[in-house]
Parts: sequence; structure tokens; C-alpha cells
Amino acid sequence: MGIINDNVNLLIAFFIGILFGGMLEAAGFTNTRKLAGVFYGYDFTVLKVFFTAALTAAVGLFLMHHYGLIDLTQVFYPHTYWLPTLVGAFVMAFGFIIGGFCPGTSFCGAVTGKIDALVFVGGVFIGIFFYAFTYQAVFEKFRNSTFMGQVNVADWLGIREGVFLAIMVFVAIGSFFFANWVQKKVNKNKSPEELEDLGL
Amino acid sequence: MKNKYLNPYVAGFFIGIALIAAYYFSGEGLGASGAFKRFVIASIDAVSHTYAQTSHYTASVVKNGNPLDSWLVFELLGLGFGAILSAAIFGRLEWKIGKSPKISNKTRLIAAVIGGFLWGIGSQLGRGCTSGLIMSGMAVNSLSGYIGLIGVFGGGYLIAYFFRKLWI
Amino acid sequence: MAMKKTDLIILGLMALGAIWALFLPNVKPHIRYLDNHEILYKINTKERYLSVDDVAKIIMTKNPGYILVDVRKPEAYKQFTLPGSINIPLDSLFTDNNRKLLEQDVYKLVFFSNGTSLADRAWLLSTAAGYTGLYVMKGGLNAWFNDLLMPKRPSDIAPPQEFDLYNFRRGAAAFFTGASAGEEASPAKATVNITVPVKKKEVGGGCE
Repeated sequence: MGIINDNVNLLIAFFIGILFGGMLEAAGFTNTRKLAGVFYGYDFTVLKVFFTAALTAAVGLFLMHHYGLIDLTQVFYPHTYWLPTLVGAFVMAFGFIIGGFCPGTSFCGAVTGKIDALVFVGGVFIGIFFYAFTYQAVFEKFRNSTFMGQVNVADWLGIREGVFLAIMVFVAIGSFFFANWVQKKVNKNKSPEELEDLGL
Repeated sequence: MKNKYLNPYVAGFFIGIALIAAYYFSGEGLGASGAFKRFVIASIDAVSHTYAQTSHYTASVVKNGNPLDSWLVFELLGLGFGAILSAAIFGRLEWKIGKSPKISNKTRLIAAVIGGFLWGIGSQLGRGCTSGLIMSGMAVNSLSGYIGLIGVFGGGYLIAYFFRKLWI
Repeated sequence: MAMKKTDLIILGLMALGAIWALFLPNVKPHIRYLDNHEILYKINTKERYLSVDDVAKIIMTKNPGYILVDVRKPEAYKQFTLPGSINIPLDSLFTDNNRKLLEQDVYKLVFFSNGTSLADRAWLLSTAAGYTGLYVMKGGLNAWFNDLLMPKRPSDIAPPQEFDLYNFRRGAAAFFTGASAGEEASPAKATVNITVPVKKKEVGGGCE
């Protein structure tokens, strides 16, 4: 790790972005019906990709820290403001169910020709502009409320991080098997055309 | 033509690698809404620098120089590039409106704007979107990441039924 | 939809990593943030206070269970400080090195300053962040001088405990000032090495 020249840093960001975007598109996340599938039971790709990514990183970083490859006490660590985060997350949930994208996937969709994604991206900008101009008057105080510090979820639950990670990974793996079962049932009577249309 | 996609676990695994690389090389996680935010701030700054310096929302970003000179912005550019590459390989580079056959194009596009708008507000309130808040948060076992996870996915499941007509 | 071989390989890797992680220690030691009620309670009980007499005893008996922490600026520390104390100015309280001192639980820390308020502030910040085993020398160095080193003779009708205290203080004053040939607390004296937080066997010995 250590200090990296600023410009090299940005270049690295670009290449990491390429990997990220490439994998998102390859997994099919420019297709909104495929994305929404996790909420309706016909396609659990989102669940699989998301948890695999987050937990691979979590376990990987944790192991790397232990063996001195990275110092996790020196990286950016999120500050927890639990209420605005929860409320914001609910708003985002509405955005997901109605719009069928999140900002990252919508950008990928937009650049690969999906017009609905392009429109979605426009919506995100409008939303942020709206927020920017109403921030001081409306959102600022709320957004800065309920600060808890830089809280580690394992600490907060009172268990060791290693235990927490192990539990999460096994819960995730279990959920993958369960998801497969649900998906099979939900799609049992669908025709091949329907399935293809859904993005499967 | 059959839809051809990369194995979701493989894709997830490599996104996890990207996330690790992000933390390793640059000390911060992945993100998307943050880049959008900087584009907005950059435009506000271009129109009126004085306003940008005084408004609470923009001030902390503009005082550190060009809003676009940021890790997240370059990451987002890479995101687009990678998506184009993959779409080209898989043959998915085409103009299209992704939607359920049961709704009209107009409905879909209106829903997309509304959805985007909600993400605009929600991601700012919540300090990130799925990648920035949840995935990057979970990668370091941050409570905020898990709150986001429960809010977005839990919330989604709660309201999915009421909007099912959009999808199935 | 069944699991393919590739799927199982990746899931297997994750499971392996998780089991491996299971046995590893936390990234940071467990820090518990106190809520307002707990902090207020701790402030009100005043359990944290040690008197100058207590601290004098600690020094005189060379009690190994305590570390005295001067929270004033380095210039004040160099001018005069308690024998054997270390200097952590208030604004350096939470640097990485000093946090290790707060995190360890072998030694108890006694914060002191000229009066009580600066030391109290150090105590409050550390306690609110969840650290324990922290104390404050009530009255600070002012009390050290005025009460301990220059004790006032109690009136003739005072109870015996006051006389005991007075005599103790006279003894302490002699100890500290009599032995003070060259006792301008040299900062170099007080580097405590905390790298091995193993409980020393002597700690239970106390005064014997």
C-alpha cells in the first residue's frame, strides 16, 4: 500500500472501474428485469453477485490485514449515522423497485445503449440537483443526526469479527441454495420465451 | 437468441477482487453515486463558484480543488468502459428499452426517471448507493453498510408486491 | 437450477476463507462507546478520583500497577512533573502510540494536570470512547504543592485521622523534597514500554 502518486492513483481507479463495470455487465446487470428478479423470485443473480462480492472482499481484506498485507486501521472507514442511512436506504429501495437500477448499473446500462438506463441516469442527476439546492434548508440537520462513530458491526453485536464473517458467509451460501430452490419453483411453468424475456 | 451471462459467482468473486484492490491501492472502496455527486457539484461550480463555496452541500468538495479530480470519478469512467467492453464481447451493445412486455415504453421511461430521482435523494441521505454504501461498507464490516443492506433489500422486499405490474 | 462445478469452487473458497477468519483476532480491539447515561453516571460517582495522598503512596511504594500521565503541554512537563510520570498532552491523547496505552489493561492510568479540569477532560474523552482503568488526581499539582508538600498542621482539637494524614504528608514531603536533589523530573526517565501486555507477577504484592 503506502503512498501512491496521485495520477497513478487515478489510473488505478480507472482500471479497477473497468473490472467492476465489465463484471457487472457480464453478469447481466444492464438488464433491469434481471435486476428486479431478486425481489420477485424469478432471478437471484443480484443476490449471488452481491453477496459473493461483498463477502469475498470482507474475508479477503480481513485475512490480508492479519498477515500484514494491508492496514485496515488506515483505510477509509465509514461513519455510521444510522437513521439517515436507514431512511436513505428505504428511499433507494423505492428507487430500485420503481426504476429497476442503481446508479452504478444504470451508468453501465446507459453507455451500452439501454435507453431506460439513460433516462434513469438523468433522473439521478435531477435528484441530486434537487437535493443540492434543498440541502441546507431541508436535509442537512437530519443527515447529520444519529452519529454513532465508526462502528464495526461485529463490535456492535458483541462478537468477534472472524465469527461474524464466518456466520455471514455460511448464511450467504445457504441463501444461494435456497434461492436456487425458490427460483426453480417460481419459474416452473414458464415457457422458454418467457424465461428469455425475463433475462434468464 | 439465448441470453448468455457470466457465472454470477465468478462475476461476484472478481468484483470482490476489484473491491479489495480499491482498498489496497487507494484506501477507499468502490462507489458510483459519489461520482454522480461530483458531476453535479462541478456543474454548480462552473455556473457560480461563489455559490458553490458558500452552499453547505458543495462547499466541502469545492474547497479541495476540482470536484472531478477524484478517484470515484475515474472509477466511474472505467465502469462505463468495462461495461462497453463486456457488452461488445457478449453482443449486447444495442439501443434498447429494457422492460416488461406488459407495460408500455412510456410507462417504463417515466418509472426510470422517478426511480433515478429517488436514488439521487436516497444516495445522498444515506451516504452512498449499493456499491459505495453497502458493498464497500460490508467489505470492512461497517455497521452503516449493513444498515444500508437491510434498508435497501429489506425495504425492496416490503414494497415489491405493490409494483409487481412493472416487472411481471 | 443446480450448482455447477465452478459455483462450488468459488463457494468453497469463500467457506475456506471464512473458517480461516474464524480463528483470527479483530482488526481493532473491541471499543464500546458509552451512551450519555453511562457517561453521566461515571462523571457523577467520582470513582475516578485519587487524592494527592493516594498518588504519593503509589510513587513512594513504587506501585507497579499505575502509570502517571501528565496531560499538560511538554514545556510544563519539562519544568516540573511528578516523579516517574510520562507526558501525553491532551491533544495527543488519541494518536496511534498513545491509544495503545489506553487500550492495554495491565496498568491503570492516572491523569493529572495543574488543577483538575484538564485531567478530567482527558479522563472524559477516554472513558466516553470506552477505555477503562482511568483515574484523575484530584486537585492536580496545585494540591500536590499546597496540601502534600506544605501540609497545614491541624488544630489541637482535630480528630486523630487528621493528625495521621498530616504526619503522612510531612513524611511524603520529606521523601519528595528531601530526595529531590536533582529531582527536576527529567522526561527521559519515564519511557514505559507497553509492547508486552503480560500481567506482571508482582502486581498482587502491593505494599509488602
